Amino acid sequence: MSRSRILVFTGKKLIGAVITIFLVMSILFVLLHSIPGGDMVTRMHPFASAEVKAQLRQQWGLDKPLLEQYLIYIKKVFTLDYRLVETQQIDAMDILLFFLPFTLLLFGTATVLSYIIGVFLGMRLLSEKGRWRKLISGTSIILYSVPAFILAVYFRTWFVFKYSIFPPVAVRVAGFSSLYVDESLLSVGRVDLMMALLPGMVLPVLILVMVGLARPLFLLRDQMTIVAEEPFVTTARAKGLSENAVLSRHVARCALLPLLNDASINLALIISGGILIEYVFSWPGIGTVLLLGLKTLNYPTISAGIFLLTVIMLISMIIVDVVNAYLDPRVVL
Amino acid sequence: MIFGVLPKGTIKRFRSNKKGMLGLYMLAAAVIIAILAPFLILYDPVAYYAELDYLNHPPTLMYPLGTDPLGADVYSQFIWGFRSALMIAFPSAVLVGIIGTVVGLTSGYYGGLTDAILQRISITFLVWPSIPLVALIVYSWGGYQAQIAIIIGVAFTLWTTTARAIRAEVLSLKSRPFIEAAKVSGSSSERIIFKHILPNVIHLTFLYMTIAVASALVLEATISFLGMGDPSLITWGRMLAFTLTTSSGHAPWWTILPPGAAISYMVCSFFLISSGLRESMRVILVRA
Repeated sequence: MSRSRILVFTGKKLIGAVITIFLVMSILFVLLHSIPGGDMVTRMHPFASAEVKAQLRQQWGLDKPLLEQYLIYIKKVFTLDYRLVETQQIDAMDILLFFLPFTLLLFGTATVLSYIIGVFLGMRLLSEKGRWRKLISGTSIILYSVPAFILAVYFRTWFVFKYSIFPPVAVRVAGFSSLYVDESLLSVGRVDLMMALLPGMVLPVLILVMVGLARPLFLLRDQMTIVAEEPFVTTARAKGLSENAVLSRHVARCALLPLLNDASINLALIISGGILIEYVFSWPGIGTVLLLGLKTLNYPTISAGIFLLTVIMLISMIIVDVVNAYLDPRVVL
Repeated sequence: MIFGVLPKGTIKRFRSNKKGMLGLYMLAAAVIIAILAPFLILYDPVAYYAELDYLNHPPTLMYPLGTDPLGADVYSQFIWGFRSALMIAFPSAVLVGIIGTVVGLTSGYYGGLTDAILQRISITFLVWPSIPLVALIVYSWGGYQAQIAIIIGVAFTLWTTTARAIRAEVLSLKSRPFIEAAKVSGSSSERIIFKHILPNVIHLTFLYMTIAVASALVLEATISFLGMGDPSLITWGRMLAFTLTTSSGHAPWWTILPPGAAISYMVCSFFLISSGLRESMRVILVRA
């Protein structure tokens, strides 16, 4: 019974996700077309000849009526056809998929680390009395207030460039707004790249953990304060359990569920904010490529980037929701 | 009085809340600086550039916080930044409150298809990466109306959490006996929403607006930092972007420390206010 419930739940979530992607891409279409100053061709190649411009417009149907353009656009989005010209060997999606592992490496490590440390500190926080408690919550308030990109700017300026404590990110992203990208660009081994990137990863991960720590920490503390007043906790204490056992076995377990519930929203915030950290450190990831594409209004790159980010976010949200439904039988759709 | 809609005793409890009051004092200081900005600045933050000897100069008596690589006075820009930050953050927070409350009330009270559609839209805006969304809205309004565009863009990205919270609260209120009683006695939907439900959720709107101000400040700084804002408007994000692009990584400390600290200061003040407000409201929820 429970297994079929989970399956139905996942199915409903997946259908919802497809509709969400459709809505996201429709909004993107409206936004891209409401920008004054011409379409992407006039922006990317302002001095190209009329024939070249017309040829470029044809691929994305930019010479057709708006409704037809919309249909072409949606078809391209869902068939993953993100080419700028017909003869292109690799398209924007290939480039982004090449960079996907690096983005996942950075965000995945940071998210997992910040949740583990946050939960650990949050559990300690309630049992600790006095100075430590004040110190930890004070520090996390300050860390929560400093926006991640400002920390990134400070750390990059001082620890990377001025005092050379941490190594810089050793891989540079360039040239994706250019028209003709060939396969040789992506022939570099991913494992080699990753090994080259590892030393540079320390600082971005450190910043993402510092910033991402506060939300699970505060949430857990608040939940535990509420749960600690429930009758069953008093019972546990009356049974003669040690304070540690009461907190970790009875209080923390009940307080962890809302944390998981919140994780799906938190993930959206982490990914939205994280692409800026990528940009500041020129980390070769989706965020950097997307922001570079935004500067030249490159339709394929922007569309592929938004599509990929939305899909990542929706998949991770569905995983969190399914785990939540599996653990908590009260969750219904 | 606007605070009359808050639950009874909230203000009294807020007054005795150390964190909340600290945040309020920090905000008051910022507002005073913003109002007095024309008297506090030493040079014109937009048009003044220092003479050649003082380009990229460390703090001296003449330039209390030094000058940036182009010779603009950091101190004057820093003070002027309070104005632009508050002028962008407040309106967008109000907009967030309005959109969030309206959507939350509608979707929570009517339920069914309306709820499903509104929920889908709110998830759409939740997963839309916020920075590209605001950037594209700013693009579509053009560089010289960037201020309005940033306000609208920020509101568009942040209303979802408010709407979710209001909806959840409305759902729990709807099953209470007094709503049933109002329905049975023949009140119209509008009357129930405005007379019975809205007064009971409006405190959440206030709470989420204070949270939204902090996020709005960060998003605004981000957009200016990426160089997508109004180039003629002095903001802290623009100061950071300026010094970073002109100094290729080796930005001098006096140009990056003040704007970053100021953004953090404002975010911290609103975070303290919102957590103080939440704590002084929470007590009621537990007691009731």
